[in-house]
Amino acid sequence: MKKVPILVIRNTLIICIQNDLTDTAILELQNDILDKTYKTRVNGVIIDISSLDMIDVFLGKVISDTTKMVRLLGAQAILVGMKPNIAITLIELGFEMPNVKTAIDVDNGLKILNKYEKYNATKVLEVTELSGED
Amino acid sequence: MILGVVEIFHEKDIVIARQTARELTKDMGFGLVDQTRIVTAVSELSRNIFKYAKSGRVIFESVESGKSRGISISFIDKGPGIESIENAMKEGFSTDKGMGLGLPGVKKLMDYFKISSELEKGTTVVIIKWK
Ligand SMILES: Nc1ncnc2c1ncn2[C@@H]1O[C@H](COP(=O)(O)OP(=O)(O)O)[C@@H](O)[C@H]1O
Ligand SMILES: [Mg+2]
Repeated sequence: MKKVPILVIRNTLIICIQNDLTDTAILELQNDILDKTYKTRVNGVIIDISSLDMIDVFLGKVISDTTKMVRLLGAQAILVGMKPNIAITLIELGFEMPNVKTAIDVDNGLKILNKYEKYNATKVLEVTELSGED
Repeated sequence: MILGVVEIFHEKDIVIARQTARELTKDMGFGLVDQTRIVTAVSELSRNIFKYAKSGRVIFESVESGKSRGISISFIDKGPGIESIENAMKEGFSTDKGMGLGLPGVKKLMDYFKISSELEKGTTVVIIKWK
């Protein structure tokens, strides 16, 4: 069965989902993403769907669940690269992905994750300063 | 005219049905959004065959009416059938913890949608998309 490569770049996992995965392969990929997020302790996960030519309800649900699961692990997940034809079909199907963060492409996804990282760093700094005053 | 037939037997056959839909609709000159609508519909209905009936058949045909050409796709199985089509067509109705969006969603994506089913005999869904 086709294996989807998961790249680890700095503090981010990048997964490019390919066409023609079976449902079982898609669920395995979800497992791999969560495993790798936990083990590598990354801050962000970018799910690149730019090479997909369709998303049905099953795939859409697994993708949207995966972003929620990643969040529970303590990382940020961003879906990038959805094509217009897929966005149209998903909405017509009645499948929406509220609460799933999206970006136009990997580059913009990385920028968004970078902002989170800085924001979190400032938050931690503030806490340290406060406790230092006690 | 029959353009292709895909037997659904294994999970991998859902992928083959999608690939067939992709190739045929491209060859027929459907626009990209319509290609996506059709491939998505084929994926949903082939999965329903695999999930609920275990096996079945997908038949792709070209159809004509006056000057318009289209693709007609039939999904035929001899599975358990559907107890209430009215319920099955409701958004959110699923007997399998699914999203229950497959049947109502496919109907919205297509120009023509017809489902017939008999308990213990099987289910047939026919969809058409005109160019
Ligand atoms: N080919 C079929 N044979 C038997 N039952 C079916 C078939 N297709 C659909 N159904 C029934 O209709 C329900 C709704 O189907 P669908 O809208 O695709 O949602 P889901 O697959 O998420 O349950 C299914 O849960 C199932 O009970
Ligand atoms: Mg279904």
